[in-house]
Amino acid sequence: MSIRGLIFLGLLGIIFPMNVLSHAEIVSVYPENGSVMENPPEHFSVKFSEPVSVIRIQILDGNRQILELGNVSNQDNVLTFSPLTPLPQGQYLLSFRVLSLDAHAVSGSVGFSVGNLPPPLPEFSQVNKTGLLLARINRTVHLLTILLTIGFVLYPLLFVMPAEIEPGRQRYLNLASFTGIITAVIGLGLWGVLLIEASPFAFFQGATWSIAMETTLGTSFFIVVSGFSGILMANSLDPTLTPGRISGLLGGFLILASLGASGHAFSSGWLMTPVFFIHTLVAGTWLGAIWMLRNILLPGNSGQLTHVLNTFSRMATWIVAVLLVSAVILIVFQLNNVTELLMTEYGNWILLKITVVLSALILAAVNRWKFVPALNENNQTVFQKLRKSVYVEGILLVVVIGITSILASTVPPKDETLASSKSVSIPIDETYSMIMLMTPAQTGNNRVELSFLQQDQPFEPMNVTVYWEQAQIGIERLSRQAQPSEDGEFILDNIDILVPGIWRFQVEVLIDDFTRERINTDITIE
Amino acid sequence: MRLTPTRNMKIFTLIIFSCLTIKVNAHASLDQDTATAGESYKAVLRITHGCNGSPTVSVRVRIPDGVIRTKPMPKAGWELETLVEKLDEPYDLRGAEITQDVRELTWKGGSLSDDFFDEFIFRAELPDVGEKKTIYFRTVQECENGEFHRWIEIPNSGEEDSLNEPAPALNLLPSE
Repeated sequence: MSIRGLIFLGLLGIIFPMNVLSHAEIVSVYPENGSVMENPPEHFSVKFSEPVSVIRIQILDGNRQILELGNVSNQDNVLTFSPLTPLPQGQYLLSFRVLSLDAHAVSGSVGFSVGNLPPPLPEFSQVNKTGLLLARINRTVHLLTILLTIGFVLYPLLFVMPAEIEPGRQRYLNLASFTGIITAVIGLGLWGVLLIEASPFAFFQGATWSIAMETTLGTSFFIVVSGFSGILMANSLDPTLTPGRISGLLGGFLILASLGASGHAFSSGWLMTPVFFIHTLVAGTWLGAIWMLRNILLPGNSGQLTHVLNTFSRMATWIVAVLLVSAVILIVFQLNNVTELLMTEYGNWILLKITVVLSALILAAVNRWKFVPALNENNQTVFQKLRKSVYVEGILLVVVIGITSILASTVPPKDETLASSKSVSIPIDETYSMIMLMTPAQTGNNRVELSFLQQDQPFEPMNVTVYWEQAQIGIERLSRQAQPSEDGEFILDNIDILVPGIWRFQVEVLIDDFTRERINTDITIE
Repeated sequence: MRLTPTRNMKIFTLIIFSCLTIKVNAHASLDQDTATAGESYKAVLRITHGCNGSPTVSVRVRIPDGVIRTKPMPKAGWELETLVEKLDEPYDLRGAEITQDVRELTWKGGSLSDDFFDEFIFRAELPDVGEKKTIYFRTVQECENGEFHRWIEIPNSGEEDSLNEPAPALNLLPSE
C-alpha cells in the first residue's frame, strides 16, 4: 500500500466518530438554594445528569467552619451524604465540586438555614489565577509541539521529498517530541491543581496527580506520551524505510487522537470530532511547513526551494479553505448566536483569533505574490525579507495557538447557557416530587422542563399547567399548559420573560382524576 | 320532650352553620354541608351548570377516607356505577371485618343541560371524630364537549373562598 493510501486510512480512522463528552449538569440539589428548614435535614443530595467523581463536598456553618460529614454515597448519578451530628439552628453553605466524564470539574453551592433565619448567599469558588495562567502557558507550548510534530511528520509525505533534503527535520522532531512529553506531564499536574482549586504548590503533592490521573486527561496523557514515543522511535530508525515512516505516522495519529480523549472541543456533538481533527491536521501542516520553509530559505538551495515553494503554493489555497470552513463550523457549534462574539469572553477570544489568523493569511499572500516571484540567487535582500516575513508568520501562528489554549479553558457560550440554567427540586407530598429546570433563566426566551417522581420512580401526571407572575412590579399571572415529551417530561417552550428579578412560578399538577397539587417556587431571572 | 342543653346547643349550631352556608354559588356543593360525625348522612350533590354551554354527561364522586357503606340513589336517565376498592383500614360491622367498600360513584349516560341544575344523591355513614372536622367529596364533572370541571381543590387555611374549583365540603360536628 502506498504512503498516500496509509494516510487516507489513517484519516478515516481518526475521523470515525469517537465518544462525545460534555459536562455533567446539576439536575437537582437538596436542600434547594435559599431554603429555610424548620428541622435539620437528615441527609443532603445532589443529582447530576451523568456519573461523576467526587472531588470535594463540604458544609460550612455561619462561622465558615467546615462540618464533618458521614460517608458519601455515589449511586445512580446521585451523591447522598449526611452530617455526623444534627445541624443546630443557623445558616449553612453546602458546597460541592465533582468531576464530569469529560474531565471537567463541575461545582456549585447552595445556601440554606435551619430555623427561622435567612439563608446565606452562595459563595462561588475563586479561580486559581496563577494555576490557570501556568496551565495556559504550558498548554500553549504543548499544542505547539503537537502541531509542529504533526507538521514535521506530514512534511516529507506532502512535499514528496527524500529525507536527505529535509534539513534539521529529525532534530526538530526529537526536540518537539521531548518537549511534548514534558509539557504533557506538567499539564497533568497543573490540571490536578486546578481541579482541587489549590495553590500551585499542590503541584508537588501526590494527591493532586492522583485526581488528575483519574480524569480523561489521564487517558489523553498516556495516548500523547505513546505518540511522542512513537515519533522518537521512528527517528531512531531509518526514516527512508517503511518501518520508520509507519512508526512516525502512527505516532502522529496518536498525538492527534490525544486531543480527542479529553477537553470540551467535542461537547457540541459527533460532527465536531472529525471537524476538529481536520482543523488540527491542516493547522499542523501549515505550521510545520512554515518552520521548514524558513530553514531552507537560503541562497544556494534554489532546487529544493523551488520545489517546496511550488508545492506549498498549490496547497495553500486548500489549506486556507479547509482551515476557514472547519473554523467556522467549530465556532458556530460553540456559540448560540453571532452577537456572542462581541458579548461574551469566549466570543472576544474567537474574534482575536480570527484577527490574528487573517493577519497571518495576509502575510502569507504577500509572501506568495510579492516575495516568491522576486526570489533571485543574486538578490540577498529578497531572501532576507522573505525569511523575516515567514518568521513573523510563524510568530502569528504561535499567538493563535496561545489564544486556542485560552479558549480551551474558557467556557463556551453554549455551555454557559447550560451553566446558567436554574434547577429546583420540590417535594409535592410524601409520595411525589417535581424537578423543574429553567434554561437559561435569563430575560428573553426561556424553556422550562418539568419531570416528576413517584417515590423516586419517574411518573407522568395527567396534566401540567404552569403559571408565572411578578406581582411586585404589577406583572399579572400568565399561564400555559405544558406539553408532554416522549421521555415523560413536560415541556414549556418559548416563555418570554421580559424583565429580570424574582418571578413566582406555580406548577399545577393533575396527578390523577381526583388529585391536583400546586407547587410554588421563586426563580431569579438574571 | 324536653331537650337537654347539649342537644339544644347542637341543633343551634347546626342551624347557624346551615344559615351561614346557604348561599347560591356556581360550584358543585352539598345541599346539607354540616352533619354529625358517626351518623348516617344523606348527601345531595348539586350540579349547577355545564361546561361553557355544554351539557353534563358524567358525574364522578370520590368517597373520602373514613366514610363507609356508601349507597347511591339511582337516577332516571342515568346509568349508575360504583367502584369497590380494598380499604387501607378495614372496619368492624356487627362483628364482621369489612376489608373493601365503595370508594367511587359514577352517574353517566344522562345529559344535564347547562341551563338546568340537578341533584345526585347517595347515603353513607360518616366517620366518628373527636372534634370538628371538614371532609371533602372530590367530584369530577365531564361535559359533552370533552371539557371537565374538577371540583377537587382542598383549601388551606384562609383559602376557602379563593379556589376556582373547590371540592364539595362537609363539616363534621363531633357526636356527644
